[in-house]
Amino acid sequence: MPAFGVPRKAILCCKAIVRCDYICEYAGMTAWDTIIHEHGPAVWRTAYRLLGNRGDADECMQEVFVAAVVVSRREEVRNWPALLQMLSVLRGIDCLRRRARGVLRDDDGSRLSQAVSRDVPPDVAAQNGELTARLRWALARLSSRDAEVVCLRYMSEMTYEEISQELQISVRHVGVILSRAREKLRELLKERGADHG
Amino acid sequence: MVENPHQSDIVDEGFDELRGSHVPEGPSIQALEQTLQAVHQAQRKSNRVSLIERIKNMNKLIKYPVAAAIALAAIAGGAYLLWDRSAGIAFADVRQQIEQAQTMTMTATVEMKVLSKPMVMKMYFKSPGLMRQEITMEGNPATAPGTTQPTTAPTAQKAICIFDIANQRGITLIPDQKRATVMELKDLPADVLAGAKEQNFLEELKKAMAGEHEDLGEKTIDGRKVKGYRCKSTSAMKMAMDIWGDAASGKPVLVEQTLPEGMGKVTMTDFVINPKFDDSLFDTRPPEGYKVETQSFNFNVPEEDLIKGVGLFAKYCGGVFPEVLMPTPELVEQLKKAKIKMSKEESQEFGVLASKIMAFRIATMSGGGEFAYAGRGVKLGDKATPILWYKAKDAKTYRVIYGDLHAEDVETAPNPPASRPAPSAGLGQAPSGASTQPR
Repeated sequence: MPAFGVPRKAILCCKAIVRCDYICEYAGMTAWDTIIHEHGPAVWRTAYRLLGNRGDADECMQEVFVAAVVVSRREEVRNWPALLQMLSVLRGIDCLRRRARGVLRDDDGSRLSQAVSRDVPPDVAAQNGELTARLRWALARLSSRDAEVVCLRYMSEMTYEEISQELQISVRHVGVILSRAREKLRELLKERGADHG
Repeated sequence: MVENPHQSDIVDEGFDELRGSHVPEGPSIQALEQTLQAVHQAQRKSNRVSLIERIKNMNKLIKYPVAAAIALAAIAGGAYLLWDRSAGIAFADVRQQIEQAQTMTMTATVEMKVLSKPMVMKMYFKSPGLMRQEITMEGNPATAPGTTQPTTAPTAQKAICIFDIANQRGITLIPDQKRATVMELKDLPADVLAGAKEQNFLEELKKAMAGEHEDLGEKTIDGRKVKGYRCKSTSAMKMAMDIWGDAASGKPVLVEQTLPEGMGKVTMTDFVINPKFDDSLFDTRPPEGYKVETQSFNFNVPEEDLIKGVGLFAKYCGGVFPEVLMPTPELVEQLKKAKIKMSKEESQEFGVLASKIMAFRIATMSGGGEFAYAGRGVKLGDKATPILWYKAKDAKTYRVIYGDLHAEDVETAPNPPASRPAPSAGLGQAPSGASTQPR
């Protein structure tokens, strides 16, 4: 069949051309294995701090990098640490909120105690576990934007300007959100403290 | 609005504690690997942004060749595989069905490394040398920032590719955008063109059916009992295909083809033999109202382009010739790891020359000549070691290119090396007999 002779030969050329496309298009693309190994530990630590256990931190880390894939397809990423830090907080907050809604299998109490028993010496856990657990509980009850902003500010220690850039909101709006979020957090922490007191 | 730096309350204490809380060693290697897997999976999904969209956003220099290449590759993945002239189809009933075919339709699903998702095509064939394929790609929905949550419904896009090989002409249509790319196949290898004009479909097919095959036995597909044969191609591509035909009628039901060099596979189904076609299906003239551009495929590549391209491969592989002269995904990854950066112009030049190397090889081999590459591990600048040689069909000498990129005419082909050290940093890939042995 003569007609099919052409593709038979042409396929080689096509492969090359299509692969050239691959090179041209992806020459500046991210080497994900490198990024994950470079930034994965920082992402995981942020997730762990927010979530308090390995399983959720692992899951959160996956979600962060998957979200980063989506972002990188949409726009050029100029600052990977900043993007991943922001995504870590966003996904971590999301995970906390899912817990609060009962989508995940536990609340801060039981899961935290499991995590603590596995990862943290008991004396350390006793010292720093209680208020942290309350804070996680309270963060899950803020609106997602409030929780994100307050965590980026006080956990990731980003400046107002950095938060403003990452979330594409005004600096003034960052201040408004922080003020509101702090007030709400204060109430929730006291409420939780009273319950447990 | 600025916070009071001296204000410290339970919120600050909470965050102080959170920041200072004990974090164990982590993440585990397993967690990192799982993350990498998830990312690769997401990349594949993300790439579904749609091939057509990718093509649309490409630089003009590569946009239309790529569109056309995908079309051709897809056709190759479909039609050729069934009628590869050296494949032995000793399956009388299937053979009979095919022998009677003057027209045919089928559905081909092409899965290739270079395609971000399987490409499904409706394909139409009419002897002599008319082909049409209709590709529908489902685009990704838009997503909210920082999430994978879709905010819009996915959209489907369609592309149509028509080829009239005898007239060396093809066209790609994107109806939604009313865009047409006319493809001129220049300097098509002579045997291909001659074959197209001779209309010897049945003769070629009979030859194809004379080869060896392996009986795969029987199985059931969608409630139909089918018999299978694995036919090994003796052609240059060394491809194998599994042909499954209806046990009662011999009608082809499923053809599975593995592409060479681990590139992927093609699955063909929904065969209809001798349907009636309207000739307009194969019209390669741009429809009215379409924006038309023209793209040429030129198989006449000068040797200097071949040498320049080969040299670039070595340059970008750290001064060592790679295992294959193709910009494989593995090679791309290695370039990234080695932090070798190319400007847009350099990457385009590399891409163009890589395709020219392949075109050179195709033109040489399809004309009955020989072409071999054995540069793996040879250092750029090695003036004693042959890395590539070729010979036109009736030529008396081989043209040999050495590691320092000089070329000489020699009477006998160099011996391919029994073993050479692997390129540094794993810049090669699995050995490919097709690229190291002269044919």
